[in-house]
Formats: sequence, structure tokens, C-alpha cells
Amino acid sequence: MRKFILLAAGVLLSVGTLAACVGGPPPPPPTDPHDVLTVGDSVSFSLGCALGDPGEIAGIPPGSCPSTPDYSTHNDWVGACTMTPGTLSLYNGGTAGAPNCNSVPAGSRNLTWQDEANFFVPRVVVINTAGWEIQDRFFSFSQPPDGQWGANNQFFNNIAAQYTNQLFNAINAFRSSPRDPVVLIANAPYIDPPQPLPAPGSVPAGVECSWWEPNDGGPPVSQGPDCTGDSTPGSGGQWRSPTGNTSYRSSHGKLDQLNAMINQVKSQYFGGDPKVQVFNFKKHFNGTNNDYNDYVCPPPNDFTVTPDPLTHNCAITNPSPGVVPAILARAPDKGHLSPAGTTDILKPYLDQCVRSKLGLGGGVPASCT
Amino acid sequence: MRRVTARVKRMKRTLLTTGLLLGGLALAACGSAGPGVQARQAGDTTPTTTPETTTTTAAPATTAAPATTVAPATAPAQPPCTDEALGAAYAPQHGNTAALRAQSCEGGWATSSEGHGYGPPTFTLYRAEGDHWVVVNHSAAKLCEGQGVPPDVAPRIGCDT
Repeated sequence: MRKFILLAAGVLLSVGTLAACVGGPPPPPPTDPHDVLTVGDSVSFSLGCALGDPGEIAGIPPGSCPSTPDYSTHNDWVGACTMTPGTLSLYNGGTAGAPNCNSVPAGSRNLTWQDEANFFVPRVVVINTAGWEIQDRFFSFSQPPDGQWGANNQFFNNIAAQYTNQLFNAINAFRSSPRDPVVLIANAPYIDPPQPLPAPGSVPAGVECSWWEPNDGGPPVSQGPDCTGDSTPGSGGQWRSPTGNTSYRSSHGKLDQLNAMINQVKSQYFGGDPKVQVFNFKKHFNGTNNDYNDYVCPPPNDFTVTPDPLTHNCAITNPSPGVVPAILARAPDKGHLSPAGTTDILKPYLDQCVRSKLGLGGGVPASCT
Repeated sequence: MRRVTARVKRMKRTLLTTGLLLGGLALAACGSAGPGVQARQAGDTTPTTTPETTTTTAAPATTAAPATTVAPATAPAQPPCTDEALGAAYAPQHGNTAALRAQSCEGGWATSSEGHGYGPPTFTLYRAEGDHWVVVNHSAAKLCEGQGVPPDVAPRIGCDT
């Protein structure tokens, strides 16, 4: 009997040792599950912040973007992020490779959007890029830049094709990530930067005053004080062609085209997929006049009531008749949102939209559209 | 009989002493009743916040009166709503003001925005104190809630409520 036990123990030990040597399946890749992932440029910061995460922004106190216990968010904004490839024609006359944070590892985690999807395994993804998407690009190094939003020619066809292709790929990448997420593509409200950006001294030499996408119908004069129309430090000076061979095209028209392309990608390629949807970001900031506005009436009147241009008051009837102050919704750069724009206008709608996608209480599907 | 009288006398003394003590306690309680919130006793159905409400309602009335009558003539003008004036308050706490831009000023409150290259701006809330601004809060989004900005002023200066 003792011999039998010894023999059995020996066999078991051998089998165990063999199993350990051969090994099982490889361990699954590490993940940090979050319910929501937001990706995009510096304006997309506000989308992630409204959902409770500031992302990697230095020098602000914790709690700048209060989170809810109901869901978790990872905010992966990257400054100047664009999906469209190519070489940017900078407003200061220089060129720079397009910062494609979707396909080139970016941020302190050095991840692509595909990597982010696999690591954070979101259930909802929010995509938003716009300001740097609409800048002229070189796809080949012919002159003038052969990618131009706001035009109505082959240059527009080139850049629209490149953008829609990248957006299509990004949506597919997220949709195939492990937790079968809903993908919300946020369209873009109008912007009206009064001067070229970024300010000298705030970025490395060579890229200061490198972006200017005014809303005006014709070439405006820089209001400064950081950059002139000639991309030198200071104020004044009219918009001029960065390459000398392009015409002025308003960001108003460019964003109309970009937003139309977002709708086209949804309807043409994901029309039958209810988990791909356009979040109507612009509806809440473009006002009743469908234009750039500093002031917006507070929800639910943001897209139905026009603030008085002098008093900035809103005569409302919903939820009850009265007069309420309009909200200064944009930052002084007239592109980013103000704290009130993020918290009191964007957040109520985006939170209700995301809750509806996560199946949480307080969800309002109509708030997405 | 004498024993009964003695017992009655003792009882009277005891009652007198107890009454004095109770009266003293009651007086002490009256004297110490201030604006503070009293400890809530089990079974007490009186709202404990009533005294505080009374006190806080009375206080602003006293201080508000002179402001209402005198303000137009003597109230100091709001400090200038300029990058420089706000930057003077911002610099000691947060440093470089090169990318600071005044956003809006109203009713003795102000906001500024600070650019950060390609990143999103941060924001600062200020309150006027005499002829200068004082930094109240600095944030990227939740800037003004709970900081005392009047509700009719907050939206006009881009403040979250």
C-alpha cells in the first residue's frame, strides 16, 4: 500500500512539473476597464471632463471635472489631434506632420486609439476632432496644398476622402473592441478665433501662430494680442494666405463640410448599426442663428431661444415663462468651451446621452441627437 | 409629632434647594442660548435649524442696508477688467501670465482664461476687493460652484453653477 501511494505521488509530481514546463495559454493583456473613453483634440477635453475625467492636464486641482459614481470615464484628449494624415500647411508658413493621435501613439501612455480601446475596454466611446482637421494639408508636395476644406474642387475631394476613410477606420476599430461599445461621433460647433494660435512662448519655436481658422465671411484682421495676421507677435494685420497661393475660406464653411462628412460616414457605412451614432454637440452652441455665439441660453432653451444681443438675457417659456441670464459659453479664444459651457450646457446633454447607452437611470436617448 | 414636623421641614428644604437648582439651570440655559445650532435630543420634533435661520436672516439685513443706500455714491469702482489687472492677482500664485486673457467681469467678479499651447485652457475666478482683484479659484472646468458668485452674475462671466 505504501509503495502504491509513493508511486502515485511520483506520477502526480511528474505530471505537475511537465505541465508547468509546457505552460498554459498566454496571460491576457492587461486592461483597465472604464465605462466611457473619450478621444480627440483639446476641445474634446470638455467632452471627457463633462463625463468626469480631466485626463492629463497639468496644474489643475483634482475635482476640476467631478465624476459620478454611476460610471467611469477615461479622457484621452491630445492637443491638436487629427485623424487625417498628411503634412499640415501651418498658418505661419511652415509645415508639420499631422499629429495623428488615432494611429500614432500619443499621450503619456503612448497609445493609439486601437491600443486605448483594448486597454480601457470601454462600453461607450466618444470621438471629437475638428479644429486641426480643417487646416490645409499636403498629401503630395505639389503646390498649392492639395487638401483643402472649404473649397469645392479636387482639393476638397482629397481631404474629405482622407478624413472619412480615417473616421471609418476609427469607428471600426472601436466597434470591434472587446466590450462591443457604442461609438458616438461628436460633430463640431462653429469657432471664431480672433487671432492666430498658439501664442509665442507657449509652444516650441516654429509652431507659434501656426493655426487660424476664423468664422468671418472674409479675411479678418487679427485682434491679437499674441499673433498678428503675419504670424509675428502682436496685434493687427489681415489674414493672408500662408502659402501665397490659397484663398480665404471661413471655418464656418469648412465645419459645415466636416459635419456633413460625419453624417455621411454614419449613414453610408453604419446606417444599419444602432451602436454608431452622431452626438449633436454643435446643436447646443450654434444657437438659433446657426452661427458662432459667445452667449447661449441655458438648457433646455440653448437651441430654441436667442439671447438679447445687448443684455444677454433670454426670454424663455420653458419650463416656465421668465427671463434668465444667457451663459457665456466659450473661452476668450472662441474655440474652447468656458467652464459654464462645459458644465451647464454640454454636460446635461452628454451625460443623459451616455447614461442611455449604458442603460443607467437618468438616460435620455433624445439628448444624443 | 415632632418627628413629622422635622421631616416636613427637611422636605421643604429639599424642595427649595431643588427649585433653586432648577431655576439656576433654566437661567443658565437662557443665558447661553446663542446663534449656534443646539444639540438635537431624541424625540425632539422642533427643527434644529430654526435659530440659525433667524440669525442668518437678520445678519445680511443689517449689513445690506448701508450698501443699498450708499452704494451709488461711495462704492469703489470695480477694478479694471484687463489682462494686466487680473494678471497682477494671478501671478503670485500661478506664475506666468503671458497667456492669461480676461474673459468677463461683472458685479465684482471676474474670470480669466490661460492658454497652454495646444492643450485646453485653464480658468481662474476672481473677486474684487477694493481697487484690486483677488484669486478665488483656479480650474479647468468646475470653477465657480460653491464660491459665492451670485446666480445672476455667474452665467455672464462663464461660471459653472
